[in-house]
Amino acid sequence: MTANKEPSSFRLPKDSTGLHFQNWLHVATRELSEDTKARIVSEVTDHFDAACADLRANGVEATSAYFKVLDSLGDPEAARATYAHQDARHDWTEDDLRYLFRRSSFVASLNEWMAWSLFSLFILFIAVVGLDHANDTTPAYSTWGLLLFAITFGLSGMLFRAARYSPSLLRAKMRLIAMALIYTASAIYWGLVGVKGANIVCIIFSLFWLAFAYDHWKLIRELPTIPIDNDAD
Amino acid sequence: MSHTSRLHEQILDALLAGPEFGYPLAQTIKKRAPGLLDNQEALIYPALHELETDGDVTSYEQTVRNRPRRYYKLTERGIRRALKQNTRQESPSALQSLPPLLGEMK
Repeated sequence: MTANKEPSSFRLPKDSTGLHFQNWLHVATRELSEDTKARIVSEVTDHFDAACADLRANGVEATSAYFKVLDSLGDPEAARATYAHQDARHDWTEDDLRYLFRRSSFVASLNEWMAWSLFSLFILFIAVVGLDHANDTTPAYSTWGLLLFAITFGLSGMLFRAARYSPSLLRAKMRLIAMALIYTASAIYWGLVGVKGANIVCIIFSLFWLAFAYDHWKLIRELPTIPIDNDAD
Repeated sequence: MSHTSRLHEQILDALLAGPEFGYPLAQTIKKRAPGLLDNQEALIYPALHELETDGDVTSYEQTVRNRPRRYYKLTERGIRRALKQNTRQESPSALQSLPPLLGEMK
């Protein structure tokens, strides 16, 4: 075992005084909560010391060992991004996930029906009114708005449908993505309408949708990769 | 398969041999899966923490030469998952050995 090889007189090389490694730690852990930071610092420091001791026990000179190990830890910015992503994650329990599946299952049924209906409605509207509808005078029914919604609802409908045949965790993710797409499109649409028509109500409405969309994208990003045996719906 | 999933699989596989701390674990994975942790050994820790949150591994601290060292070991769930993934990986090779065997029977 590596620990047995660790020389008791191990010291960092004099010319570096450990500053490079301290900088690495500083960069890699700068956005973390106190608890996570303390744990990462403790573990990576132990890793670093054990690796240096291992190399030295194998005849590598102290300074070379120090920089070799520092190099093997990798880019501190990449580590920072990974640590920060993990730090933001909830401590999901199986109960949390089961609740999420139940909720997403109920909302998904409703949304799938709505997505297909609205997709058909917008396509029909575009077919009847045509793409040359006056964008400037009636921004609420503008061509781009209709197209945006038609595409979004079409995509969401397909995602909801495909989710039915996917494993539980993927299914929840696909449903959340479909809903996040709808919320994002709504936020963009009402934002554009609000800005174009200088309508504060539409802008506030858009901000509400934006908050929903942000919440969903955040949830999707934080969803763990654990497989849960829950194929009830 | 994503980098994270591969790393998780390798960690679970390596921990089947018994409890270990980060550094030797990273060395084992580097030997078994070249390229997975090359010049990014520090990424083993978020992966370990994630597996711990998911309930596949558990950790405990031990004082080694007056310093704390965190060891990781598989939980029952982790053992099941590791064995399951090993069976899945072994099955293609088992299938590959079938044609010669069938040939011999003829």
